[in-house]
Amino acid sequence: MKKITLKPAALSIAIAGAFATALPAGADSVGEPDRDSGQPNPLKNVYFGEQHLHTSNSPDAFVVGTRQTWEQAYEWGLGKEVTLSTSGEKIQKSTPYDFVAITDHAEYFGVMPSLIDKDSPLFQTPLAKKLRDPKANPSDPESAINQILRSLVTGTPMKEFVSPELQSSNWQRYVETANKYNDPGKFTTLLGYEWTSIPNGRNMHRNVFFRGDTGPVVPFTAFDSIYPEDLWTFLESQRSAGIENFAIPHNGNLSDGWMFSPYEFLGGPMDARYAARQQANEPLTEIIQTKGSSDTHPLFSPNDEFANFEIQQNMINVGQTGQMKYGYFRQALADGMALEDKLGTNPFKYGVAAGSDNHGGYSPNEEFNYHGSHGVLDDTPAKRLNPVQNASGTTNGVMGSAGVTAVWATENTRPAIFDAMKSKETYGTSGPLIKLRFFGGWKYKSGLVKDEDFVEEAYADGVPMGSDLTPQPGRAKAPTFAVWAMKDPESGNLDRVQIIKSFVNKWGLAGEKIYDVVWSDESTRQIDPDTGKVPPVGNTVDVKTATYSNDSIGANQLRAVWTDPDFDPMQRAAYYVRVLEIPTPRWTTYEAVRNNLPLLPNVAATIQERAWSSPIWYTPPQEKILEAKLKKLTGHTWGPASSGGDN
Amino acid sequence: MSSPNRFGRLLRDPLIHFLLIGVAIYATYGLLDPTAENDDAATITVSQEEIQSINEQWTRLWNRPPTEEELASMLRKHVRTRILYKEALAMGLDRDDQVIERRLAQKVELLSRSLVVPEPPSDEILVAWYTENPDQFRAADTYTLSQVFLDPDRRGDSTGADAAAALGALQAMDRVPEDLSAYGDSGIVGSYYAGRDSTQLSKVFGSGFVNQLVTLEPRRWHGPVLSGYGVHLVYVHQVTKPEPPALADIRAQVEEAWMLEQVEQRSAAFIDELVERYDVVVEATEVPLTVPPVQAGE
Repeated sequence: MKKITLKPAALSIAIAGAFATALPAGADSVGEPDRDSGQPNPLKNVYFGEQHLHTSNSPDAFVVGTRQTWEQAYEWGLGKEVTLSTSGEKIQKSTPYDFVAITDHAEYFGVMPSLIDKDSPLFQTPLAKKLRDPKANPSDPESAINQILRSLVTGTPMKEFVSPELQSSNWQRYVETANKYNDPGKFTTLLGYEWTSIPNGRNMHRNVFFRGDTGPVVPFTAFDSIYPEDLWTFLESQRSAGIENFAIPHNGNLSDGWMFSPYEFLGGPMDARYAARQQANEPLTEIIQTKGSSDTHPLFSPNDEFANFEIQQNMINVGQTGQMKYGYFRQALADGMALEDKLGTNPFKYGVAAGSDNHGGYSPNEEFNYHGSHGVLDDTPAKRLNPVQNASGTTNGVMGSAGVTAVWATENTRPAIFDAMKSKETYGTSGPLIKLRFFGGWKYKSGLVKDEDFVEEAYADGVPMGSDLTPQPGRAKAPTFAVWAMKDPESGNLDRVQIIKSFVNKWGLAGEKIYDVVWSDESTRQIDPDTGKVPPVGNTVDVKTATYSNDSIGANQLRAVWTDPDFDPMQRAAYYVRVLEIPTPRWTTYEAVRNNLPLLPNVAATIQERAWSSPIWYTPPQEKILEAKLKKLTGHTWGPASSGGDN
Repeated sequence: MSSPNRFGRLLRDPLIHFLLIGVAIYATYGLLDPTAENDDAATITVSQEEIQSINEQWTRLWNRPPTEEELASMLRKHVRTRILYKEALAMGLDRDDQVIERRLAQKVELLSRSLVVPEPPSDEILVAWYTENPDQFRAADTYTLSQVFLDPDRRGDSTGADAAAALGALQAMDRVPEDLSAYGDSGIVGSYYAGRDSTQLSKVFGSGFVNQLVTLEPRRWHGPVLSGYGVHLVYVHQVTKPEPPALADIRAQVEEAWMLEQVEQRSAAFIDELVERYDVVVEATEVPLTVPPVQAGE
């Protein structure tokens, strides 16, 4: 057993002399030393939160009957009981969030609630009257709802609702509400909104976030422009005015192959300037949310037995599958490195975030605590488990519960959380609050993760998730990675930790390899020599009762130091971690059992919840790349001979 | 209502207060409001004050004054409403209308709340009231605890037996030894947490653990307390109800809460009194009538 020493941080918060007994020694978990010491922690604490949430102030949420307010959305995040406007249900989170960013659509931001508010000047507009007309037929193409939706989808604004005064006043109301709930050290409300570019149903959406307490005077909307480059121009101009910001694209899976395309939005191959702007403005991307996972698709990762997870491929309200190439994170990592080889900049150097994109004003990351995503479209168990197809050509049950963004920050404040996201020291989960550390360096020793000073040493001798490996020292043969994962006490045990390596092979094509790094139940599970894989952990879920057991399989904590056995110093590579839980019931299974309804045939009854880290990148030294290129062109070696010394 | 001292009682009767105030409001309004005298059969006068108020309302919502066109449009609407209102009254449309009935009832209720504006309380009253009602101003309870964790990952089937043995040893000692590491496993959760509230603790241990924790008697070893991680033995050093802040620091907040309570009490008393003055006849003998207590603000 490891020695435990009394840390100064623990002493400083102890109420000295308050008890007759001597102060017992206290050690936090190995991966999170000095949490809650009351001081900013240079070794960083993990904070869990939602960075993608809609309320009644989003026009599409409003037209599907959502009336949840900003206040209610924050109260939910704080763990207070809130009442859903649609079903009247009283709901409450089991574990509160540390931070919440409400990201209503910038288009008609805050306008819809005014249409039913007698005190608003918008109350008497023709659209408002039409909207309130009890005899209106919602399927009439000229109904208020369809008018609003059509205007959003086609990007044609209704002029009376987009005046700068109106936008500014609504944005200010939002900022005031967010500031009221921001409680430094305890609960952070990040300012943000969603820029909703959706040309021909291709999801190019970006969420925009601000560091300070005000944000811009008026948000830049997709009515202003649907081109990402114009959004970047806006963000750059805000930054030069001192308003720090960044954007997070989401749902690459529903972008019809546009999100991570090597082509510019307006056509033609991407140039260096475009790539650099994309990287500078977009540090993170959502790896999962209600409308599916954007990690990878089984088609692209045929050897990944866990790739078929929360896949959604029908484009929103289009009802068809779009193009899938260039829609997923794992391949984008490799494509980005291939572009870097050509352009000198990697446009897809993305860290990982996750969220809900819930349009009901609350964020259901707890699988057992899901109450629908889209207002009255799925506000009852019967609607959620309805096997009939919806407008997107799929069923409501395909919607996932919320993902969660985890950030490693020095403290729970707006600037600290913003900075952590911008620096990509983040990871995403499919919902559970799994804790995950991931470091890369050249000389981590194998016992590092069991050391008391694991985190301190890991920072000192390497870099955290979301960073570039330091240059390879001459003596080091391959990079080493330290990973630590701990389960959510309210969720399933951990099955395994994997490192996924994305690289560009010698033909310039995207390649991937998945390594099982550490797993539970090691005495009964060994790597199968035929497949090179660790066998499945087993499944304790009883779908008839929607229960599972942590008693017989899985682990609380998994940790290891791993060295890449296939390292090629001439090959660009990105490494990221995937942690898998043991199988637990999907929300559809909980609902079916509670309401005595049949399970849906088109979704999994049990899922392996997971966390994905931001990657750590390896880039070969420039002169070696140049050498290789020259050699390829001329057939012989140029420049200083490779000495093997430090470079 | 028959009482030997009927007149004296009348003077103390809130309803009489109410009626007198109503008469006073009516009289004052009639004297001061120029529109009232001019609003005869076919004249509508819009006063400067009304225009001002329309202006202000707009500015508050939109952060700018209305343009001339906007103001004109608002005024047209306002005048139209006034005219139609008069016509409706003349036609008797205010009778047998549930919305109007409710709205007027609401107005009386609101009036009852502004009936007697309580004087700001004296220091003495406020101190006494704050001493009796500190809870709404106090931060959440905090817990200081030591705990021993037995990790099923390491101990497997013997986790339960190990926990029982460790608990026995700790209970025999009846205190918290300086070094707890010999009793359990480290690396998942800390062995000592000082002054954390239940929200903070549920982020470390999960809410299941915290639900058990809050029931534990302090200064004794308890176990097994279960969490999503495994088995814990828990010793609560103390539960601290944080002292309410000094009155001087939150005086305005306390005063506001006191005033609110006064207003609500008086309003409720007043409405109760009104209800008492009525004989209620319900014409359906089958239905048992239970009159729920009438509450202010309903």
